[in-house]
Amino acid sequence: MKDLTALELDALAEIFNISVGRSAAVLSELTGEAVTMSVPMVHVLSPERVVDLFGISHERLTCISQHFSGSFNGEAMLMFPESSSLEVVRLMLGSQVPLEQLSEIEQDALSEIGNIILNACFAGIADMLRDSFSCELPEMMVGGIDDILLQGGSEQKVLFLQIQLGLEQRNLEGYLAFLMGSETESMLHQSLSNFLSGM
Amino acid sequence: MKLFEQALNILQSGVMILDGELNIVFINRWLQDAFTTADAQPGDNLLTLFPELKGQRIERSLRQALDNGLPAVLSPGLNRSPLPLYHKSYANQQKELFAQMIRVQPMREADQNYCMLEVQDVSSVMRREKLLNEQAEKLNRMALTDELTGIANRRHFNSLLEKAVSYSTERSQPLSLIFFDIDYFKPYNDHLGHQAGDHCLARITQNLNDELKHDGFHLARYGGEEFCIILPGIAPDQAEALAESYRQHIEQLAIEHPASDVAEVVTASFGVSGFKAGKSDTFTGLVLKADNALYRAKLSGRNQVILASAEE
Repeated sequence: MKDLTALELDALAEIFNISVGRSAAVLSELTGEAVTMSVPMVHVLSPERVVDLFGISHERLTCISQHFSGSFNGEAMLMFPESSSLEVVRLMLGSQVPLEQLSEIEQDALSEIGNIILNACFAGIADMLRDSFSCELPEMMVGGIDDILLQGGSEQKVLFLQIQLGLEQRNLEGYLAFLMGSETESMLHQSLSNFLSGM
Repeated sequence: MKLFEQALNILQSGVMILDGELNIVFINRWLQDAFTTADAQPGDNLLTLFPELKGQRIERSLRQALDNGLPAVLSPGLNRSPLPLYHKSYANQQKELFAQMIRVQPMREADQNYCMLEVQDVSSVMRREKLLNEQAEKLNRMALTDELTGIANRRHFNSLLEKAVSYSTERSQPLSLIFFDIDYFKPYNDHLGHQAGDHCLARITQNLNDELKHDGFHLARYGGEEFCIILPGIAPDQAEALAESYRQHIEQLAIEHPASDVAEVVTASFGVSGFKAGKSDTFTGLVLKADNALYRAKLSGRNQVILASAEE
């Protein structure tokens, strides 16, 4: 199967940039804080390669994931290093909880934040594909990047994006990952080239 | 099917199904009871019943589920009470808006889009967490505060100085540290009793702390009758002048000292260390130099300020 071209990756990055920009606006409104978000680059990698590249730090990740199905299937994830996830949610809630772990309410708030960002990405892709898919409610888990990414089959590819999140003069980094099977990847490839030739 | 409906009606959380125009297709008893401001029945339009929901996140979430098939979570941390749901309180006849956890999921049946809204009353979770946070904050404060004087304790001082050193070094700003010690404090205690001693320390720190806080300086109790002041942004020669003013301040409190060899009143000796803008020193370096200067102030007759020389 052919890899995505540089042009197609740029188009994807553009779509994701618009999508996360929209979710930043929703989060700003919700929290009363200025939230900015951008996606500098899109990579398509095997899960093993992602683990190889980003698993070095050994820091545990907080992951909010949503399964999706429709014209293509997979799982979308938003991940933050565990310490940043505490910071994200506390800056957004404007709280100064002295606990070292996420409380129940903070976990739910983080699920909502993830849901808003992931939904915006789904909507952006669906717009491009002139299609819709159905998604499940977000789930949250904490673990190493290998626990999170290596749960599916070996046929899978990961659409991997860094997210820069700006909040109250802090710059935080998170990751967006779309785990998809090979048929999903070729569908995405097809849709992207249609999208680009239609432009 | 009747059994399913019965089950939903006795469920202790809210369930509602809406169609593409936000008309209520089904609403269970729990949710009907919680909507105390209007009688919500199947067939009613949600926005006609509650026009205040228009344009809110809850409406947008419902539309997103109906139009794009995307589910939503509305958590109580970010939206405390998206729906006008109230507890009936029999005690004071007042209704109380309660905190909610809401999930919205898309549904599809016979080519029509629907969505299901699920609500839980999470007011007790919110209360429990608030209590937990208050307790944790209290413990945190206690671990960093000196019980007698209410100022920072030595543990807190250590972390404050650590931060101040790296902050000042990174930004090429000056930093100074003052150590001071009450003169002849043991004889004071022996003469007037420990209670009077405690009272004396509390009075001095209270008076100094107000002045110091105003300038953004940190006063901490290092131990016994020894105290320290961290002065971010202040060069050592400036700190020496400030220390002199604090020395006078303590003297002017005129707390009678019947057992002092240097004055009629309680006095203190001061040691100052620090670095100028663009220079730096370590945590340990600053503490050792300030302590050494204080020792020399004691040796030279007490009730005075000594600045550690830069070469030390």
